[in-house]
Amino acid sequence: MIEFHLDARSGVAPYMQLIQQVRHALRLGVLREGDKLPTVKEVVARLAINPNTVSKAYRELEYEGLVTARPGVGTFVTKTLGSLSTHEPLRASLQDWLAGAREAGLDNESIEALFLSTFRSFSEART
Amino acid sequence: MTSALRTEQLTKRYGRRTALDRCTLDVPAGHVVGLVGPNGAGKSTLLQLACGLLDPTAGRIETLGERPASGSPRVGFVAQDTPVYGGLTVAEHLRLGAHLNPSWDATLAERRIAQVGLDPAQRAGKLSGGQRAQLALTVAAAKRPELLLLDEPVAALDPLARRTFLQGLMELTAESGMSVIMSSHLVADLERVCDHMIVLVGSRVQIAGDVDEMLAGHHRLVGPRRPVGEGSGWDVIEESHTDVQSTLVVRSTAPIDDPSWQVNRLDLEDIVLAYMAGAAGGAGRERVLEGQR
Amino acid sequence: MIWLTWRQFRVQVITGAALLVLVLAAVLISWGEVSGLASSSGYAGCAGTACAAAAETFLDALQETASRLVYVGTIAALFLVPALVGVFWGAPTVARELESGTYRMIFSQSVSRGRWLLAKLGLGAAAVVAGVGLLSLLLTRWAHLIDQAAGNRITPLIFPGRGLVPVGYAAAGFVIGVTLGLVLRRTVVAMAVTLMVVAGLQVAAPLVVRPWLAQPISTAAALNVDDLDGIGMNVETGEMHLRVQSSINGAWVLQNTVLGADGKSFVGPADLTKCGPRAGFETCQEWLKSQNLQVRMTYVPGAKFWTVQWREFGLLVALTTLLSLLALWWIRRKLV
Repeated sequence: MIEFHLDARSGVAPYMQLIQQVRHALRLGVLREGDKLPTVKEVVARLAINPNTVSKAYRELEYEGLVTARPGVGTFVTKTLGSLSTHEPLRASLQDWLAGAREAGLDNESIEALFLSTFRSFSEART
Repeated sequence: MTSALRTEQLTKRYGRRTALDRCTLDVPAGHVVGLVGPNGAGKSTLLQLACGLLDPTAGRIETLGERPASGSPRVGFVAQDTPVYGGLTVAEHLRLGAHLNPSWDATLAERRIAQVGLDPAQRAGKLSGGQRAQLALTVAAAKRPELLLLDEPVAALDPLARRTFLQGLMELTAESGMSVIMSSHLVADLERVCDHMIVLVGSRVQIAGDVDEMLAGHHRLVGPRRPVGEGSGWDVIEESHTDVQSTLVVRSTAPIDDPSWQVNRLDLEDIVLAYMAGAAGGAGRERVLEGQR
Repeated sequence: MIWLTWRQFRVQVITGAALLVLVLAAVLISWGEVSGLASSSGYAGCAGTACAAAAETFLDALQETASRLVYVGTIAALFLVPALVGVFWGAPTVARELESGTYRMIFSQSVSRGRWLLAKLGLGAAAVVAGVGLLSLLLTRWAHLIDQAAGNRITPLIFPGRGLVPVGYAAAGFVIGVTLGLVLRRTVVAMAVTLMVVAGLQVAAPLVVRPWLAQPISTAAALNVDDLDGIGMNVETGEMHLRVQSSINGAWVLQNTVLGADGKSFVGPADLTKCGPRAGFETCQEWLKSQNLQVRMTYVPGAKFWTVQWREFGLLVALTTLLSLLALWWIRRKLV
């Protein structure tokens, strides 16, 4: 069983933080197929957050096919995420891109701003 | 699905003072609703109208599709400063609840009292603020209401008691599925627990809606100074200008695609504060402007 | 609802009951003494003209006893009970809830405001009626012979301490307290105003209300100079005032004045040669006889005691009911 926590200052919506923590636990292998997630009531009683937030996060995870809810029993992990090794090729190409940016004369802040704004418009376009 | 709370042009006056001015709201059931606003904005009045302690001066109000009446088994209410009988013990408060409510859930009441560590033989007058709030919440919740109204339940509590209280409240909400409307003058108290928000400033509703939609629909725009035009596809909530720069808080459902604006996210507190500042009136903003020049 | 009302009310009820038991004990203990004196003085079972003298002996014998204390104490107690009940039971009943905000907790239970108040009013009034009723019943029997001997039970001093009326005053006092507490919303203020209103009611009753209820009889008769109780006169101007003793046993005399031949209150002037320091009392009596003086007397005969009791009790019940209805209406409509 994993334990959730919330970072009020991250600016990330609470339900998204819960989703990220489950994904992270799946990636690290902390959660495996068949493991049970804490019930909505347990999460809510621990974090003092809105039950709908937890339900929304669990629904999202279910929609992604990572977990499945069995009514009256609990929510269970149904899939593990690929290991960190699959990230390697992506990391290499990102490093290439960063090198290119530096050559073009961008400093760290500009690179970060460019990345974030591109990332944001990219993800907004996809959702 | 019926609304938890629906008002139409709801107005309440005490003599000449207007506490609530033509409020129109529709709060769906099944949510935890935060009612925020500065002190004296009319939050208590709205909640007391909703539980039938007060009668409206004009307009209509419905809770769970019915006209509110005190003594309704469907609506629970925890008043400001969580009043309890100082001379009665904790156990006697539960007995009181059992006697006065046909729908009383004794198991829930006793479990909660044990869970929050209250001594049933203790007199309520000797409880700490946090314990008293827990007792009042237990009495209100064991009635098994469909809608629970809480008036500034955590205002007088220390941070730990606040947290414990909200944990208890959320746990009750999770297991019973009841709707909750709670007021506070601090957004921070409500940020995590509420998925719906009503901002009440100067006896008027400034905005009411889903928290996620509110977060997605509000932006802070920073850019070169310019006059704020009407009909730019967004509503300006708050604006401030220096000689070269304009900073706006706007509401817009569509994405802001004007590249001359730097668009920033806002958190809930920023949004609420913007509405409070915006409602404080143009005169105040003019003065700020003069000062900056 | 009844449980809660009892739970909140029980300290007052127990205090009141303890005081009641003390008073009842005093009454019961002195019972033997009173009936003993009544028979030893020959008053109990007396007949005919002997009764007046026996009554005198009986009342004199009582003077130095503990029963006298009980007699005076219970009269004082029954005067105080309506105010005490109103101030300490009635006024805080609702005002304290309004002041501490606990009414908001109660009103959010599944019980209507009207029922809540009705339980408080009903239980409180029942306790008051039971306690004061028992006290008055025993006291009226206990003092039966004393009242008969003194012939004064219809007078303002004794009347509110006998029969039904004490119950009416106490219940009215309680409801006045509750209603004022509800309307004024402040315990201390409500207590003070309740005290004033109840005291005002007790003062107004013998002055205004009871004469109206009792419909006193007025008689006018020629002055019998031997009935004169006293003569007051100013030797300079000859202005004089005559006092007549009330010759009606067991009645409440409201007015007792000597009228001159012109039908107005007689104030002289006296003939200073016949009445005055230098003239004899006999000549003055003779002179007064020649003045055609009349005595106008307004009184309520003792036989009307129960009629007046019932009427006044009925009026108090009506007042109590009316105030209860007002309180019930107020809590539904006016209470914020």
